Amino acid sequence: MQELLKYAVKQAEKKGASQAEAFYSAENRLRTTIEKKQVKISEKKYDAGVGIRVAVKKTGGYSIGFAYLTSLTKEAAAKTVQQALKIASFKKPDKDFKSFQECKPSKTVQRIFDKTIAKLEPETIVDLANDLIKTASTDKRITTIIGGISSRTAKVAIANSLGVSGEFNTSGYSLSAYAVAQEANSTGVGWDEYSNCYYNEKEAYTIFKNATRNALKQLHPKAIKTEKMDLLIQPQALTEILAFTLVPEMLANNVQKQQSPFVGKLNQTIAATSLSVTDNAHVPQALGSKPFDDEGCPTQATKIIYKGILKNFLHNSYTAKKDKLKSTGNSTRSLGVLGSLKPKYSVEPVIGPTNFQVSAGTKSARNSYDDVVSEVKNGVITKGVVGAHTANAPSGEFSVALDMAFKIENGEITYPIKQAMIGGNIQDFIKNITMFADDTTQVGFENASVIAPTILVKNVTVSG
Amino acid sequence: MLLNTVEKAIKLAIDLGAEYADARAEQIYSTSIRLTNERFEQAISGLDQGIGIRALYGGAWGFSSTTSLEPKHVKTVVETAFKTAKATSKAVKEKVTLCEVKPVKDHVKIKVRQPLTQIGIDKKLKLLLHLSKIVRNCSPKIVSANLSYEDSTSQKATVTSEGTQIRTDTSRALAAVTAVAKSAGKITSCRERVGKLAGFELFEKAKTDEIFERAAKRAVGLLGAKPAPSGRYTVIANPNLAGVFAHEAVGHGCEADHVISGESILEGKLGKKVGTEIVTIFDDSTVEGGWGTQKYDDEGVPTKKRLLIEKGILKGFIHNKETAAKLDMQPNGGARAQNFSHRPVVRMSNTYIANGKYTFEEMLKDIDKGVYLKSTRGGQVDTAKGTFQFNAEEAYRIEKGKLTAPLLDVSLSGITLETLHNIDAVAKDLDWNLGSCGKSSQSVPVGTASPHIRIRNALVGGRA
Repeated sequence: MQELLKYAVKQAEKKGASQAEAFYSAENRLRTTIEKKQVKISEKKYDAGVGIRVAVKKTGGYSIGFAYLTSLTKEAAAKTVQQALKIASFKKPDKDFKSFQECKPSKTVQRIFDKTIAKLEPETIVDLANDLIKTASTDKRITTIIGGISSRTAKVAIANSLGVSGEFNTSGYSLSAYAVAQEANSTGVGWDEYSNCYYNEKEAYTIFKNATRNALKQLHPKAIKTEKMDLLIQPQALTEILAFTLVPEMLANNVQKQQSPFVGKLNQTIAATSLSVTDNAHVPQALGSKPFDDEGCPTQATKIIYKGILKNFLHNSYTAKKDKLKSTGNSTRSLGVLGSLKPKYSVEPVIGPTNFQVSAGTKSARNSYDDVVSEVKNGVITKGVVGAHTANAPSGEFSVALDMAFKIENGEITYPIKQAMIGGNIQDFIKNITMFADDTTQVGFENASVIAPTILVKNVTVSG
Repeated sequence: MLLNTVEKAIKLAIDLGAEYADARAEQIYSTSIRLTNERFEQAISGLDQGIGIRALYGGAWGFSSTTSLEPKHVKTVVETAFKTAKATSKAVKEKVTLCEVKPVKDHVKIKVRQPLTQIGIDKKLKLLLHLSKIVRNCSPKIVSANLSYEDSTSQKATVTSEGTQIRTDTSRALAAVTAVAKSAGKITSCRERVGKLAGFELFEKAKTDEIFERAAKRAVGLLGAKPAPSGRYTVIANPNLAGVFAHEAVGHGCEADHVISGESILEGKLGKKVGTEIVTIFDDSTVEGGWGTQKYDDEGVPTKKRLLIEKGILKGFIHNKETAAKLDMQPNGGARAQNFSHRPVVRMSNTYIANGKYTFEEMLKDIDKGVYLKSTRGGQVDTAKGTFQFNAEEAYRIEKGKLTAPLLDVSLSGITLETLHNIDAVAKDLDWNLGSCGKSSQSVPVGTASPHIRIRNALVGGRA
C-alpha cells in the first residue's frame, strides 16, 4: 500500500501542492445477528480507500484540499489528487495551518491485533451465537433475545511529504445482548455489552447471562417521586453522557471555537479532587489504542483532569500549532461522537479521544462496589441512559432518561424503577462525584473507548 | 454497466445454489463541507462505489459487500454471501420465507434542474460562506456559526433473483446550521436545516437565508431562558417535536421486524385502540421531494403511503418481503439500506401525524400551567418497553393560556401508549422536517411531520 500512497504524495507535489499526505484504511467486518432467540443473518463486509490531503501555499497561508477514492489504482489516485487540488484552489488560505505532521520516531503498542479474529470464520460465530441463545433461554419468562457478535480487523497506512510513513493492524470484538422478560402483564428489559480488541468466548456467555438476569430483575417496576438523591452511574451510562458532553468539550478544536464550558479554565479546579481523567492510547486490548494517530503523530497518555484540576485539552497537529503546543496525537478520521458512519479514508482528520480513562484521583475515593452501594442512603443505580446524544455540548447541559435503573434504600438495591430522568450540566456533575467502585470496564464507542468504574454522584435531581 | 454487474452477481448466486438473492451496486459522487466561523474545516469530494449482495440458503441469510466493482472482487463477494448464508443455515430454527412480488423493470430519475455534479465546488463553498455571514451578522451575541453542506448524486442498480431490475438516479442536497449564542457566561445553540431530493436549484427556491437567520435569532432568544421545571404538565409539542414523536415512539413500533422480534409494544394490537380518536399517523414513501422518499425500496418492491394509525386504531405496519410473509400481510416497500455496503432493513420513510382541527391559539387558551416544547435535538425510544425520550431545543412556560418565560434544554419522556391516549388536541398546521434515522448501525434519510399537538400529563425533565 505504501507504494500507492507515496505515488499519490509525489503526484500531488508535482501538480503544485506544497505538502501532501495520503491515508489508507481498510476494514474487514464479520457479524452475526440474533433476533427473537434465533440466529438471523451473518454478514461479511470489506471496505477500503485512500484519502488524499494537499496543502497549497498562497499569500497569507495555505489552502487545504481533500478528496478520496475507493478504486485503488494509480490512475484513480492521480484524478483524486487533481480534485483535492481543485478544492484547495477555491479555498481561502488558512493562516493557522503551518504543516502536516512532521516525522517522529514511532511507538509500539501492545496487544491491539488479535490473530484469532483475522482467521475467524462465519461458522465459528454462528455456532457461538446458537449456544449463547440456548444458555440465555433457560428461563421461560424470557420471551426475546436480541444481540450480535461482531469482529473486525483494520489496517491503517499513511505517507506524507514530510517523511512520515507507517502502518499498523488492529482488531476489534464486540458483543451485545438484549433480553425481554414477561410475567403477569409486566415487561422487563435487560441488556449488557462488551468491547475489546481480543476475541473472548467466555465473556460472550457472561454478557448474555447478564442481559437475561437484568431483564428478569426489571420485572414489576415501581414509580419513584421526584427528588434530589444520590446517583450511582455504571460505566455504560457514564460513557453515553461523557461521549456527548465532556469528551467533545475537551477537544481543542471545540475549545478554540469557544464551544466548551472549559474555555480558559486550564490549571483550574473544575471537578471533585477525587476525579482524574486521562486519554491513554497505550492501554493493551483497548479499542482506542494505536501507535500513531490518523495524521501519523505518535500517540501518548494525556492527563486531562488530574485530581480535579484541568490539565490539558486533546490536540491534533493543527490545533496544537495554533496554541503553540505539541500535538497530543489525537487526530482522528472518524467524526467522533457526531455519529458519522463514514469510513475513515473518506473524512478529513479532526480530533477525537483514544481511550478516555476515568479513575479515582485519590486513594480514599476508591472503594469496593459493595461499599459504594452501601454508602447510598437514598438513591438510584443506573446501567444506561437514553437520549444522551441530545445533550448540548457547548454548554454541557444534558437531560436523559434512565435505563435499567434500580432504587437504592439504606445501602441496598431494592426495586426496579419504572421511569425516571436526570438532567443538569456536566460541570456540576463532575464536581459532585465522591466515590469510585472497583468494577472498571471498557465501553467502546466508534473506534475509541471510555474506561471507567461505577461512580457515585451526589445531589442529582431524579424526576419520576 | 452497473446493471450488468449486478445481473451477473445474481446469476452466480443462483448458480451456487441460493434460493433467493438480491443485490445493489452503486456509484455515489458526494460533496461534504463543514464551515465554522468562516473557516472550512472540511471540504471533501469523493466517489464511493461497490456492491452488496444478500443470499438466502436453507432459510438463512448471508450478506456481503465490497468497495470495488472489479469482476474478481464481485465474484468473491457473491461467494462470501453464499458461504455465510450456508454457515448461518445450520443454526436457523425457523426458516425465512419471502412473499412473492411481481418483477419490475424500471428506470427512476429524480427531476433535477441544476445537477449537483455540474456545480463546481467553488459555488458550494460560496453558498456556505454567504449563509454563514447572515448568521454571524444577525447579532453580536452569536459567537459561533457551524454550517455544513452535504450532497450526493448516485446511480444505483437493484436486481433480484425474481427478475426485478431497477435503475435509480438520485440527487439530494442538504445545508444545515448550528448557531451558538453567548452572553454573561451562558451558551445556547439552535439548529436549522434545508434539504430535499433535488439539485442545486433547491437553494434558490427554499428560503434558505431566512431559515438560517432563524437559527441565530432563536439561539439569542434562548439566552434569557431559565432552568425548566421537572414534573408532570400539559404540554404542546410543535410540528418538529411532534413529528419526531411520531417517528420515534410510534413509527419504530410499527416496523414489522420489531413487531415480530418482540421488540414492539404494538405487537398484537392491530385493529385495537392505541390512542385518542384524533390521532392518525402515516408513513409515506411517495411524498414528492420528501427526504425519505423512494419509488422502490432496496428489495425492489414498489413503495406506498402506509396507514399506521387511523383515528386512534392501529391499522398497519411497515414491511419488507420477509415480515409481510411472516405476518401474512401485504408487502409495502419498507426495506431500506444506507447504501450498497449494508443489508436492507425495515425502515420508515416520511412519517407524520395528520392534521386535526384546532389552531395553536385555541390549544393554548385553556392550559393553566404547562410547557410549550419546540424543535428537538433528537430522541430515542425503547420500542420493547414502549418508552421514549427527546429533548426540546427551545421551550416556554405556559401560564393561564399564555406563553411566558423561555426555558433551558427541556426534555420530554413518556410511555408511548399512555401518551397517545393523552393527546387531546391536534392542530391543522402540518409542517415538514428532515432528519436521519439510525437502526442496525445504518443511517437513512427520513422525513417527519406533524401539526402542533397537545399532550396531557406528560413527564417533563429539567433542572429547577
